[in-house]
Amino acid sequence: MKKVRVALSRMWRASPLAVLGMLILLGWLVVLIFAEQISINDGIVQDLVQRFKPPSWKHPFGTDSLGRDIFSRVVFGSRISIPVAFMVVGVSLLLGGTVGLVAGYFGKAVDEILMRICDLVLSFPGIILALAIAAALGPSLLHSLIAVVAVSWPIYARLMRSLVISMRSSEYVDAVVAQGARVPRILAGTVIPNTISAVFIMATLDLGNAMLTFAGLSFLGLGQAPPTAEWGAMVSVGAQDFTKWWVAMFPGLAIVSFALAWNFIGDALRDLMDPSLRRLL
Amino acid sequence: MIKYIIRRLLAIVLIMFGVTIIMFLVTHLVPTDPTVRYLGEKAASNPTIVEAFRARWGLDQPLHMQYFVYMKNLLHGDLGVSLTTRQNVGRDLLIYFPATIELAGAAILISAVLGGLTGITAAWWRGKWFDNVARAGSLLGVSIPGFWLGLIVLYIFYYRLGWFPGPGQLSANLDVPARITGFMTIDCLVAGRFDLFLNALWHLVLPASVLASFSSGLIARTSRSSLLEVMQQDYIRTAKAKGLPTRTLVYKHVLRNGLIPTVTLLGLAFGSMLGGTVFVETIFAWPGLGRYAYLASTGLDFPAITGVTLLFTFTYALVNLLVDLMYAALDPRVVYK
Repeated sequence: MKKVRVALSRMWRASPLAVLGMLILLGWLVVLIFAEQISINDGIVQDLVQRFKPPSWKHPFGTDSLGRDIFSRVVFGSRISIPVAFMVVGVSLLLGGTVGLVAGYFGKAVDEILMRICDLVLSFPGIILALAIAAALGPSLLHSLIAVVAVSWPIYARLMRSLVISMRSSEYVDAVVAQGARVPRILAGTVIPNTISAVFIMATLDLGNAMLTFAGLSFLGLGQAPPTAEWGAMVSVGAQDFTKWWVAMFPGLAIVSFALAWNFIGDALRDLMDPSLRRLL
Repeated sequence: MIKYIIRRLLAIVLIMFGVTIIMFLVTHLVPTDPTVRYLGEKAASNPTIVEAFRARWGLDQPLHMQYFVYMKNLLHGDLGVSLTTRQNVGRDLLIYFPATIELAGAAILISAVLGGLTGITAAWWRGKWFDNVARAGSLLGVSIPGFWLGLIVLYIFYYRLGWFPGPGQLSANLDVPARITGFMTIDCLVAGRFDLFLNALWHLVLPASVLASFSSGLIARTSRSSLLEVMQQDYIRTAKAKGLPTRTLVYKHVLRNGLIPTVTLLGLAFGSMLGGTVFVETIFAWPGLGRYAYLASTGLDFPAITGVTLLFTFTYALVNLLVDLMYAALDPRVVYK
């Protein structure tokens, strides 16, 4: 117990913002797990008499256009919005990481082709391409997830590629090659473990972004179908009438707190990183 | 240098070509069919009408033929007809583009000044309270979704306090000046109406500030770290040692060298702003391309969405080229071959 306290106080002194970020995330984890216990109702039940009621003891975050309790919707929304952010980053990381690994290790024509595709995707203003893809596929949670992944994998591909290239000329990789290891062994045993920390920090910095992009698509009506609560879509209800401030305020604060927490942590991690790798992020 | 510019311009042509392919695949290999949407349920159940519609838009051709026709028209400057506005897409783009550039230009100005000043002040008082607040503030800037911030500032500064006007480019009771350039502020000046100009400028403040929030944070962070890096250089120590006044040291050595990397960031920031206009223009009823892109994509208006994407990507690529040239002009060590 004492050790934990010492570690925590050390972390607090090194980076108070990162500790704050971790506390926020811990809070969201609790909300996500105990949503049924925390919420007032299921967040879906409508009460048209209670439309657009400002925050009160009965409804701490007020009610929306259909008289639904916004507090409960924010609580249950965490079960959609948070896992989706992780899924976007996870899939982008796997896809982009694989592309970067292949391009960086094999080089030549493979590298050239894959990196030109990367450049092409990066030459779009991201949200525009995501918007086109999500709209073309039709509104659904899965489709907007695909759309966000489609625009966010290239940053991982680029990072992975530069890491692999710098590693390929290193002596420890030469040593493994000289021992006669085959390609899968070299990649899985030596190359990939040495890229993990940089890729991990990139993912940390990207989680907030993933949530913002996905929430943006939902805001535009391309995400989760109603009536299930999702933070971005909830903000769009508030856009119908911005004078009812509470409708957009609370789901928006949820998005901001989640994105901010990851940015606090990612920023602190980046400072701890090897300066030669820092410029890649 | 000329060679470099030509090569970059050729690369932009290639990018645009790639964009047409991606957009074509995205909009044609998808399950949604615009037919029903545009004909309505009743007409869509009549095979003759559907056939005529598909022939009219070339939807009955094989995919590569459709692309071929699209490219042929594109090279002749014809982007097709928007299914929503029923106008030529090229004409639509010309109408809506100036409002977006006006908004994004104002936002770039705000974020360069705000982000730059914050970065400089934070670097100067490194580790002091301002630095910490600025750090948290710039992280907050990149964590706030524009579509939410837009609603909140409208509520506070327009609805509650009344300091700034609401959505739109000009107050509703004023006559819109004749459209000459398409830029509202410039058109007001051309019409010789200074009062309208101020009104238009006033309307720009809220949406441009919201659009600038993300890149202000980005610029503040980058300029801070690059200034700190410069301050540790040997030539700064030398300059200090030879007794250069702080003023000269800061202006001539630190700022000039430290702010150059920030210039490159402006290109990146511009890209994120073009994307951000989709939300800001939708919330602020701004008649620009962001709102057009949103209406086009939710309306499955593929000619329009492809047109917007082409124009946005082209602008983004061109701005990045300009930024790189500016970089070379500012930093004599950078030579493009």
